[in-house]
Amino acid sequence: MIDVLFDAVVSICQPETLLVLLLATMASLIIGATPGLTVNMAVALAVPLTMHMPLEPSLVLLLALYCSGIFGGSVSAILINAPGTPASAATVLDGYPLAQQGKAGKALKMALAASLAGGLFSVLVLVLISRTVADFALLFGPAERAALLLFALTLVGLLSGHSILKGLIAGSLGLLLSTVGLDPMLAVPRFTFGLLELEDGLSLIPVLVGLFAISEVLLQAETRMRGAIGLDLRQTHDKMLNRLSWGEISASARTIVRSSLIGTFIGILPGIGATVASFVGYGEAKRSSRQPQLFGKGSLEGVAASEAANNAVTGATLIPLLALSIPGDSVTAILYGALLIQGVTPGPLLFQTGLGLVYEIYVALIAANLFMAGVGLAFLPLFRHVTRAPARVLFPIVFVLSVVGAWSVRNNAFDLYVMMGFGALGYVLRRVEVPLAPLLIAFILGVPFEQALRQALVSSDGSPAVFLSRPLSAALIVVTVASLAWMAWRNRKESTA
Amino acid sequence: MLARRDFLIGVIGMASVRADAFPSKPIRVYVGFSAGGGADIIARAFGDVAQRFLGQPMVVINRPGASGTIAAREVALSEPDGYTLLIAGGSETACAGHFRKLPYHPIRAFTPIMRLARLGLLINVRSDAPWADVKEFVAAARKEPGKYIYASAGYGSLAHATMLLFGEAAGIVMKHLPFSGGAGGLVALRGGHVDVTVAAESESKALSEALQIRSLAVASAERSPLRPDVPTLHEAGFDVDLENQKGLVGPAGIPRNRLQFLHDALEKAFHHPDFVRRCRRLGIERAYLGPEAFGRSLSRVYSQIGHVVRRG
Amino acid sequence: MRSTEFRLGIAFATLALAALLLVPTISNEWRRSTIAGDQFFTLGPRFFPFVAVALMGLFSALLIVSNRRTASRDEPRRPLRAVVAFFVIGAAYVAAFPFWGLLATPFCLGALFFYFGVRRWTTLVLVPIVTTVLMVICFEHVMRIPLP
Repeated sequence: MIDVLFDAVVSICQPETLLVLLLATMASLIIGATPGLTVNMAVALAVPLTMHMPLEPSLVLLLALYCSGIFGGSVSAILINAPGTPASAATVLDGYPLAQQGKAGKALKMALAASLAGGLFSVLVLVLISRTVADFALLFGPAERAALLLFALTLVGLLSGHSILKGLIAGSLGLLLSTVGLDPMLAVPRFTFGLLELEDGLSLIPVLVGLFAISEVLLQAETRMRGAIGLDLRQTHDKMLNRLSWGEISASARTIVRSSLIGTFIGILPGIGATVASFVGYGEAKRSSRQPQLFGKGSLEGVAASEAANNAVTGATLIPLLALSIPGDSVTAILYGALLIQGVTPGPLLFQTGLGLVYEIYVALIAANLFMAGVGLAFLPLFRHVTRAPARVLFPIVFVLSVVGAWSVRNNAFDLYVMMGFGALGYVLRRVEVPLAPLLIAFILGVPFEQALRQALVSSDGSPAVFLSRPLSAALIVVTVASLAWMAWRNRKESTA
Repeated sequence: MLARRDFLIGVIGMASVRADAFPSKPIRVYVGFSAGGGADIIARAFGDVAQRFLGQPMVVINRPGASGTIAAREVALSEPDGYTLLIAGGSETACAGHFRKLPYHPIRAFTPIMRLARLGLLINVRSDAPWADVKEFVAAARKEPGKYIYASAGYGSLAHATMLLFGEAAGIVMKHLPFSGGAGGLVALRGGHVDVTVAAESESKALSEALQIRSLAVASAERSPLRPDVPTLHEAGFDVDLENQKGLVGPAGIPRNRLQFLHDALEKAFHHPDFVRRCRRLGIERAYLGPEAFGRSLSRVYSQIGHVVRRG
Repeated sequence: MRSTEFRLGIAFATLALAALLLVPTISNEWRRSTIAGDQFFTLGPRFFPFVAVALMGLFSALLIVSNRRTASRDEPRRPLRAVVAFFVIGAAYVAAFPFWGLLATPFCLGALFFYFGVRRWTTLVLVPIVTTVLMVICFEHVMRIPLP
């Protein structure tokens, strides 16, 4: 155990890897801080880059983009009243008022401290429980896998986005898109229109680069890149106002711990994600605070609550990804694709054959969090400029990078058409506020779900009773039905109230 | 596309005037699987050594998808000038053509050049399974047709074909659970959800200890030097001879002199100590066959599988 | 005018219907398969696409029903022209990419910059060229990915 951990530390601490980590952290802080450039997009664009990189640097690159990008979102939330990533939307509520009072530096430092605490806490939970979950999952048969995937898909559909129906529609569209290609049991071509390129289905990387990067560029094109970037900030150099004292940190300690717990729990459940976590964390902090009247007017506790919660999601979402091979949100779905490209299949087997790799992921995640804190602190004075990046130059470059990146994965022109198609689809769906996460996750989980379902039925000679006669799958199905019923009931209550 | 083909033909026309100058540009080797996969590792390990003897770089191009058939089609439809080659011998030439329509003929569309390596296909059971050897398993399976379940790496994969050949030779009928890739079946075996799993040598080796799995037999004609403890199906009296081969082919119709040049240069690389050392380190079983022998081997495997698929 | 949700529901229901018509194009020949072991398969390849289509139809119908009586809101009209223009330039680039490869890159970048209102010549010429060169160095030499 110890020597595996030691090996992992050594392999992450190679100079090149650390250099990649440093650059990735800087890049993702900038990306996160730039409104419009989201974490999803950054990770999606980085995946093709990792193609021919060795394993460790690519792990570090992706994880650093993930963690620091989420923190980076709080920078523009605080400085210009626009969350750099959706996950920081709750940070705006108190971060911007603090900035208006001239305490931007203090708010940023608090956001950084809370992000670090939340991030490290969730890594700790990841380290402690994922092995157990994986060993347990190793015994899952087709029936259990089918039930588990059904549960995950239902949750993703129900919980991401504001409208349940839109989430469910996005999920079913994802399922439908996942059926393109050879059927996973009998290898019968479906919706391939005779194209060999479609036999493996729509390939993941072009789909996600399209959905997240191209659609974002198209959204930005609406304003002809003349968006409202660069609101002027009252610049303050008052050192006293911007110093964050230990007293202030310890006053928020309880909030940080509570938010970390909330974020971790939400991260483990598939489909909810960092945005919801930050709002739940914020709401809970407000409810139990000694000074609830300050919330919304510049409460440090509010910033801490939101940021601890959204960064606590980062480690926790890796638990279902690594142990069960179920990505819980869009970013982990993209990470999943990146790991596959590296020849690493997440899932219970990884803990048997690739324990060293699992430890490398842990170490990389811890390192990413520490670098986030270090680089973040060093960058504090520079952030003002970042939020004024010239969008009209930036987004065309992002577009060209998407094309080159999508090409480099399989050297295939067809992938580029897929990417453009999904870019258009993503753009339209985002305009009508249909969430993309359920679509992407259902697209990824569709094939394993269908395969598990049909495998279970082959083993049972076609009797669907197999899903209810095995205790674990029965329990999962009951939970799924219960959560559906609960959501329906709550929805009814809301609409009649 | 058509214009591009015409253009290529034009270029080749010019090139063939000076046929003795072959090769005058880099040779491209297509791999139908992702970077880092078995076929890719072999291609890159060999390519680095081979280019010293070819006098031109050997560029590996990954075009993964549809069990290697996308890359195979690309090469099958390219000009037979010796500059476009394929790592072949797996599903794309052996079995894919029997299960669905392909835009090329898996044998006739190619000029075999040389076999580089082979991978045994192992029949695995749980360590605590009641059968000591293949014969005992077959006896049990004959008693209860349709009771035992085997996992394969996918419908129409070499693993599936192995079980079809084995099932026919032994006269047993089993249920089939196709997975996507070899690992899923091995996990299902460990969890007790299937009774038998066919997996490539490399996969079984890495997992057999962790998952408490035992190999009953190998489907090749001879025992693998990497797993000399595992008997062949042949030894147990079942007439099965199937393995995953990896070799270089080009499109059909490569001129004789170019084929000869390629083979001679590649054979030198094959025996070069650098390639030998790399293979040992990567756990690859080097297995040379010349153009004719490799061609015979490819078409034998192809027709053998076609036989069981058609007869059912 | 109906609400956005209503129109969205109609759009998805239409999509589901179109997909439903495509489901029978999936071959059902496996039922006649004589390959050993195939007789144990139950649900065919058409089942799962059908379920996905049915779910999509169901949820779109619910969306239509639940928003039937919602009053329509005035949505701010968004400039579609810029998006379409971007998409067209982008699509042209994508179509040219496999043939001209990186040669097309600086032109595409330049065109996009110009369209979005960059008028400084230095930016229009230098940034695309520098970006392209950086990309070539990054992909071909550092990571050894062949680009067209």
